[in-house]
Amino acid sequence: MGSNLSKALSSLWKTKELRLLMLGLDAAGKTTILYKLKLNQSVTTIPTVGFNVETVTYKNVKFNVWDVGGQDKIRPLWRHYYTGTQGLVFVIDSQDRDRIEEARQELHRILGDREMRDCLLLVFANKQDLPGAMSPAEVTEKLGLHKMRERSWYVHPSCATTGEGLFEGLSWLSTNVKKRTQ
Amino acid sequence: MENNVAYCLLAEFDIDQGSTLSQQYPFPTGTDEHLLADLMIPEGAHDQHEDWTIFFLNQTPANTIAPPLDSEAPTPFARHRRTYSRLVPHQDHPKPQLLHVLNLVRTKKDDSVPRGALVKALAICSKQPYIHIYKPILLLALEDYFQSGSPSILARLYDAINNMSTSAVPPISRSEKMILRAAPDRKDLFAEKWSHFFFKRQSDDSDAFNPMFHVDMSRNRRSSSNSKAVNSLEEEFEEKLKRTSIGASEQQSLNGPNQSFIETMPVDTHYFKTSISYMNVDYKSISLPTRVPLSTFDEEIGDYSIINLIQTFSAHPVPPSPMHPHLHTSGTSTHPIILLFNALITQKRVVFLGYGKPASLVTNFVLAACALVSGGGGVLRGFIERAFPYTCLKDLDNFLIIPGYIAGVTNPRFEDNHGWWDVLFNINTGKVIVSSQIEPVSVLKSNILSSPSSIPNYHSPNSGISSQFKSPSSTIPSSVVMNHSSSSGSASQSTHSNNHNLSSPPSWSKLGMSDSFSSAMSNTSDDGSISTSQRNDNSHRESSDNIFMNEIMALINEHYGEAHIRARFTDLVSSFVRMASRYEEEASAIGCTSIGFSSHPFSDGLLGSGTVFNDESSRVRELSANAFRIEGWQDTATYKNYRHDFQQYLKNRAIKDIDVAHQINRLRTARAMHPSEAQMIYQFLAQNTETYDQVVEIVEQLPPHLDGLLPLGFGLIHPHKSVREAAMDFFIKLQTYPETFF
Repeated sequence: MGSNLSKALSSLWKTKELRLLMLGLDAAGKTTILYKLKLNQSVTTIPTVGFNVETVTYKNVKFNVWDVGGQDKIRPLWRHYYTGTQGLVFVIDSQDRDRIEEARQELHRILGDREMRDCLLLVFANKQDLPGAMSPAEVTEKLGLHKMRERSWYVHPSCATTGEGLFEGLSWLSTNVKKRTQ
Repeated sequence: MENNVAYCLLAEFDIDQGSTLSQQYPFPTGTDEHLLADLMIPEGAHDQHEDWTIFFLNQTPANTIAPPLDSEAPTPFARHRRTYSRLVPHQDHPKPQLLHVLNLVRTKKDDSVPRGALVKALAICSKQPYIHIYKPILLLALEDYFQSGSPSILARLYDAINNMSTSAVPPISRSEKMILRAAPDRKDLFAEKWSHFFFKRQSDDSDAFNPMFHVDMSRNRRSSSNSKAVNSLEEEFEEKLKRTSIGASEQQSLNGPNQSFIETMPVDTHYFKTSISYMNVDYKSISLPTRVPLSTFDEEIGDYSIINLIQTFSAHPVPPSPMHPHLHTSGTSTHPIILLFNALITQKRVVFLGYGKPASLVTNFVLAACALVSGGGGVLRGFIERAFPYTCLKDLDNFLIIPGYIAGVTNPRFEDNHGWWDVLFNINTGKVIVSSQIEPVSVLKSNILSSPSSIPNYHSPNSGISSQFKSPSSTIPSSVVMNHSSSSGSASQSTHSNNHNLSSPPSWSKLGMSDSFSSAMSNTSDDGSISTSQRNDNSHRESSDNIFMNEIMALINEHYGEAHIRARFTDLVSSFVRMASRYEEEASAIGCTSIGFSSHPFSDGLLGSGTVFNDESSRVRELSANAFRIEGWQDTATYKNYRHDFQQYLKNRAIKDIDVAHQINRLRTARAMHPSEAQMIYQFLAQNTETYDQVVEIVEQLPPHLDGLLPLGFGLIHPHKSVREAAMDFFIKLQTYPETFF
C-alpha cells in the first residue's frame, strides 16, 4: 500500500525530462550558459574538450543539457549527439559579426539532419552586454530563420555572465514541448 | 637492436582549431593527425589536471603507420593491405605489430593566455608492452615543455629512452615467465640466469648449470661449500661485474668471491634494473632509475589492476534482462566479472564508460579486462589487438567495424546508444548493462549432453568403483587416497571437473533439467533468452564460476596481492580452455580436438590425458554450464590463435607424448588413485627430468598458490614401496635444479 501511495505521489510530482543539445561556434558562451544555469553563478570557463553534460531543473522540468565543444574540427562530431534530442539550443556570439554567416551555415547543417527534424530550436543571441551586439531581430534575419516554417523556433537575447534571458529561454522550451506532447 | 620507442608525439589544444597534433618525431607516423590529437587530448580533459591514457596504432586502417617501420619488412604495397584480418580475409602479408602509445596530458590554467588555459599532451609509441615504465620521463619532459616551449623536447625524449640499455636482459622463455609470475615474492628465481648471462655459457644442457648448483642462493643466503671450479668461475664473474653496471653500487666490500656473487645478484629477478638519462632544456642530465619487468606477456599492457576492476564491478548483480546464453552462464546469479569474461571470450563488443572520470581509469579497466580474459596473456591472445583502452567519438567509425572491440570511453553518449555495443560497464555506477540490441543466440550447434559420453570417467570413491579398478589392490584403505582437501585453495584448482563432488549423485533426468543450459534450450521457442524461472534453480548448488568468484572476493578481502589474483584468473582461463577442448572432442564426429589432448582416464598401464571427469553428473554439469560460451568462443579470433599456439606447443615442448598438466592435476585432486597409476606418473616425471627445459615445464604446472611441490610430495609417504621409490627418483633428479626451491 505504501508503495502505491508513493507511486501516486511521484506521478503527481513527476518532473518532465527534456533533452537539450547546446551547440554553437567556439567561444560563443555555451559552457558559461550551462554553468550559469546549473550553479547560478558565473564561472570562468576554459575551452571544452569534447563536451559537458549537466542536469538543470527549472519549474518542474528536468533539462538534460549537453554542451559540445565548438571548434571547427570538432563540429563533425556533433552528429553523434543528435539522436533523442528534443531541443537544440544554438548559441550566438552577438558581437561576432564576422562569423555570423559561418554560424548560419552550421545551424542549417544541423537542422538538415534527419535525427533533428522534430526538435525545437532556441537561439540565444548571447553577449548582449557587449558594445555593438546584434539585436535578436538582426540575429533572426542573419540566420535566415524567417524562411523556416516547419519548425517552431525562438530567438531570445541573453547575457550568460549575468544570467539574463536564460530562464526565459528554458520556459519557452518547456511550454512548447508541452504543446507538442498534448 | 630495436628501438625502445618508435615515435614521440606532441599535441596541443588550440582555442580556434581544437585538438591539434603539433609535432611528430623522428618523422610523421602517417596516421590520421586529427585522430591522434583527439586521442591524446581526451574528452573532458578540461576538467582534469593531469591524465594518462593508452591507445594503439597499427590496429585499424585509420591508425596504421605508413610507411611501416624499418623493422617490419617494408614490402611495397604492403601497407595498403594491412587491415583487420576480418576485413581482408585473404591477406598475404602479416599484420604489422601493434604499437602501444602511452600518453600524458595536462591542463594548466593560466590567466595570461587567451581563454585561460593551456592543454598539452606528450606521447611515446613503443612495441614494448610494459610502456608504463616510461611514465617518470614523460612527466619530466612534458613539464619541461610547459616551462620552455622548446621544440627539441621530442628529440631529447626519444634519445633518452632509446639510449636506455636493455642489452643485458637475460632471455626468459614462456614457461619461465609463467614460473616468475606465479611467484612474485621469490626475488631470486632464475638468479642463475643472470650469472649464466655473464659467463656466456650455452643453455639447454643441464650440465652447463652444474657448477652453479653448488652455490646456494636460497633464502638463508649462506655461503656454499664450493669447489675450485666454482671459485674460478666466480672470480671470472666478479671480473665481468666490474665492467658492468649491474650491482656495481652494491659491491663496496668484497671480502671473498662467494659473497660477491651473492651480493651482485639482482635484488629482484622479476625485473631488470637500468636507468634512463634525460637531458633537460637547461642541459642538465637527469638519471631516472628504471625497472624493466621480465615476465610480461604481449597481452598485458601497462600497469593495470585486476583487483580494482573486480572491486568496481562486484557490488551490483548483473541485469536480468536481456538475458543472453553466452553471458549469463549462471543465470541472474552470474557474477559481473564472469559476465565480463563471457562477453570477452565470445567476442562481444564491450565498452567501459567513466563519465567525468580521468580517462586513465577506463584505460586501466580495458587493459585489466584484456589481461583477465587472456590469463595475463599466458593462455590466450588476440584481445589487445581489438582493444581501444581510451577512445572517443572521433574514433567511433574506425572501431565500430572491429568485431568484438573492447573500448574505454568517457562520453556518456555511449550509454544512450545501444546499437554501438553489446555490454557496457559503467564505472560511475558500478553497473553492467546488456544492450537491448544484442544479437540473440538460442540454439547450440551440437547436442552432446543428450547422451552419456563414450569417454570413461575417473571414479571418485562415493560414486563407486568401476569394474576396471576392481582388482585386489582396490581394497586399499582410504588413508591411501590422496585427498585433495589437504591442499588449500582447492576450490579454484585448474580443472573444475575435479573440484566439486555432489553429496549424492542426482538422477539423470534431474540433472538434465537443472542447468541454465537446459532452461535456455527450453525457452528457445519464444524470445531466445533464458527465462527468469531458472534463476533459483542454481541456488541449491553454486556454479563453479560463482565458487571461483567467492574465493577471489575472499582473497581480495584478505589482501592477497595483484599477482596472486592474476594467477588465479590464469587458472580459470586454462580450465575453461580444457573444458572447451573436451567439448570439442565430444562434439566432433571423429572424437578429436585441436586445442588440447584427447581425453581418457588412466587405464591398462596407459597414463590419462585431456579433461576427464569424476562422474557423469559432473560432466553434465560442467559441460552444460560451459556449452554456450564454448560455442561462442569457437567462432572467434582468439580461438584460432589458441589452436595455432597449441599446435606449436605440441611441436616444441620439451616433454613429449604425455599431458603433464593432467598427471599433476591427478596427483593434486584425485580421490582414489590406483597405486599403479601413481607409480607410473612418478616414473614418467622422473624420466622427464633430464633437461633444464623439461624441469621448467614441470615446475610451471606447480605454482605456489596451488601448494607448489606439495601434492607431489605425498608420493614419498605412499604405502606402496614402488610408488615411494618412483617419487624418490623424481625428487632426487629434481633437487639438482635451482628453480625448484618452492
